[in-house]
Amino acid sequence: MKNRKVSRREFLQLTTVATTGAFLAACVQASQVGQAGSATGQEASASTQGAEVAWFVRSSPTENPWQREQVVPRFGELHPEIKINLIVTPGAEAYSKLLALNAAGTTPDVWSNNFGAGFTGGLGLDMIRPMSDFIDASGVIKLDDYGQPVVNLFTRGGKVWAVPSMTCGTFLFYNKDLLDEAGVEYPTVNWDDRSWTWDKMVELAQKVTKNYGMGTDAQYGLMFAMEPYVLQWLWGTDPFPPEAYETGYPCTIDFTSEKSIAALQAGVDLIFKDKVSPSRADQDAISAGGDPFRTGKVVMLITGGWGFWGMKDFTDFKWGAAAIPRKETTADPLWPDANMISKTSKAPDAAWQLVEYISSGDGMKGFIDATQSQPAPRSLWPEWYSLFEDKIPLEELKAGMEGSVKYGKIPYSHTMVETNRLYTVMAQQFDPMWLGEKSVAETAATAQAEVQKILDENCGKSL
Amino acid sequence: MARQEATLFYAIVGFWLLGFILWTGGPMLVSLLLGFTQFDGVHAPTFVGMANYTDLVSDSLFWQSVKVTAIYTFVGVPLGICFSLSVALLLNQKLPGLSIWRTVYYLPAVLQGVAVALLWKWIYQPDYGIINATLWSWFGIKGPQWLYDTHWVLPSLILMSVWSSGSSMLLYLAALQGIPTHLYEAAELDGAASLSKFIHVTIPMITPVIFFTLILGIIGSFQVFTAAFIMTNKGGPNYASYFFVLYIYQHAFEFFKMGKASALAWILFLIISFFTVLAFKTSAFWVYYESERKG
Repeated sequence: MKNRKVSRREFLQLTTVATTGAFLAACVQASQVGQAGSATGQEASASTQGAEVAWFVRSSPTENPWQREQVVPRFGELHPEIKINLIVTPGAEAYSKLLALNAAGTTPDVWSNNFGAGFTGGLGLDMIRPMSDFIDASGVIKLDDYGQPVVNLFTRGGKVWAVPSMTCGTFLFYNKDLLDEAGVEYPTVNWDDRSWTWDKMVELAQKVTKNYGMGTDAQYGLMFAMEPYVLQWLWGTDPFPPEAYETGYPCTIDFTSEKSIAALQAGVDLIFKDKVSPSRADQDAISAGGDPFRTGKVVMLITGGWGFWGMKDFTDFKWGAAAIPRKETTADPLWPDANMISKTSKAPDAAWQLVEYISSGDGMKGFIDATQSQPAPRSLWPEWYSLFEDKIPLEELKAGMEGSVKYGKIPYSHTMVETNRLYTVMAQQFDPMWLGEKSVAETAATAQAEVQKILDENCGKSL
Repeated sequence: MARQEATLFYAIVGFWLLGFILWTGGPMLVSLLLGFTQFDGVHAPTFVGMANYTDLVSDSLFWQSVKVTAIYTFVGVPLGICFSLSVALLLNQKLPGLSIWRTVYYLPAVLQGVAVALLWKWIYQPDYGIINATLWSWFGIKGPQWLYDTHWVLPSLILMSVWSSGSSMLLYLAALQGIPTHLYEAAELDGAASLSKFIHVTIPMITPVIFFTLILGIIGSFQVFTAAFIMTNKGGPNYASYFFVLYIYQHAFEFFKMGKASALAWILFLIISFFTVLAFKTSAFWVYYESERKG
């Protein structure tokens, strides 16, 4: 047989054809696998035998050991027929990876809203399935135990789409040793105490601030580690209209009303007038050396309930958690986390078994011990209180927790859509005000105009 | 023999070609197509025609990212070339401990990415960073807020990029040492002073290397990302360091607007291509290749 020489052109043509063929073949195979998987998924809904559940979680030094060392083995004992595949991803990348997995047709079966756009993002993108059927049939999940605001958040169209796992409010953490040293009283834990005001907090902060702006020698009276909307809440207003918390898509934004300007000004005054809070640069610098509250650089810190995490064994100084002071109103952000199941899960029954176990008393107790997080079921709050019984008197802790939930409001990050984008734009637009480069009024006007442009893109939509 | 060689050639090239089609050419083509769609990574892409491109005209952040990147490139690249050439000229002298100096100046080129960004973040810390501390303690000058000032953040990042131009310095050093000494001798015989020798001998002889570093500098500067991502909280303060690639990244992986991000990526590709081609076209007027003979 005579050998035929392949020309360069023929070679290129063959390569292209072969590559395209391989690509198409791969697509066809993937499609067939997908169909087979769906069919299997339907069968598996009747039985969890041999099911594999991909559980997508953020990387966390406390949550991951609990997931790996407690949930997976314990769940394995209870459901040996189900295999859990734990996918751990850094929190900052978690949401984009989740979407990438979804785009690739390999959506994880279970994930939480404790990263990225979370619940509303999943709902807005039609990625999650309702769980009402499972919850109704469950003897474990009792919705009444989670509190109405939290249940309302995860209920849309009459169906419950996620099972809460953690709920915490926002607190003013304080360093008892440094307050004692300054000879001042501790802030109250009573959220109904109308004498505990913003102005009193600033006065207190001024008394304990030392060497302001002097690098490592500085001790700051207060750090307000919250977004500006919290200030607006305290001043009796809200940047977002009430209906936006229901629809998920705000149509307007307010940073320029009289109350808003006063609220934002109070935040800026903490740095430039009252001189009790670190500048942006100093905040970054003192945070680089560890949590500025735990390293004693900040005497009082306003932050979410995650301020409790890891404090069970903290012995560097005595500390407490007080109520957020009121201005026009008493308010604080409420942070609910919940677990969801993918709409395209091939093993929804098995995925539900996992969610149900995590939410059960056994699962939640392990979660509380390992992470020191506040559990969503109220019946388990005493378990959480007991973690800190040698640090904070039970009555104080109870009053703090109940008060923060009583006055708590679920913020835009958990209730609205495209929150990453909103957060980014607001953070950038407010910079000139925090840096003292422009007045609050000027900054607020620009920020309002820029945020409004984004809102106009989606106004009228609803979750 | 020729047939065996041809087979071997195709076998070797074939793997590369396959890899190119699958991992570079294919994704580029897909990205080109996605640029004409609205795609959130979850739902099927929707064709929107040129909207992703036309919408950019009225997008102030797009123009801000173009402006920031252009300033960074057109100030930073020439500055980097001047700095690395100056250092190369110094290190081309007969000095004691020359190899140590060369290592010292090259060292920043070895360090890259996040580590450099974090290092410089501390250097620029307004209260106790080394620059402001030195300015205050030695000269009584209160230094700027650097990364925390909308006017200073971009010069800070440009300064940092200049610091890490050690690899260009090494190329210039090699080029300087490759200049035949008889050219300098001839110039001296003609009575040329040091400056004349530098302008009429040194510069023309190293123009191919200047050209090379210019091209790499343009491409690299238009794609700068890490510094702003790490040091300025993703382009702050108030978008003063909002580079083009950061704009693409946020649209793709934070806002999940893959269609727009693809369109932006193609615009960046075209911008870089334009300036690269422009540099090549103008090179005929200023780059001197000794081997070339012009009629």
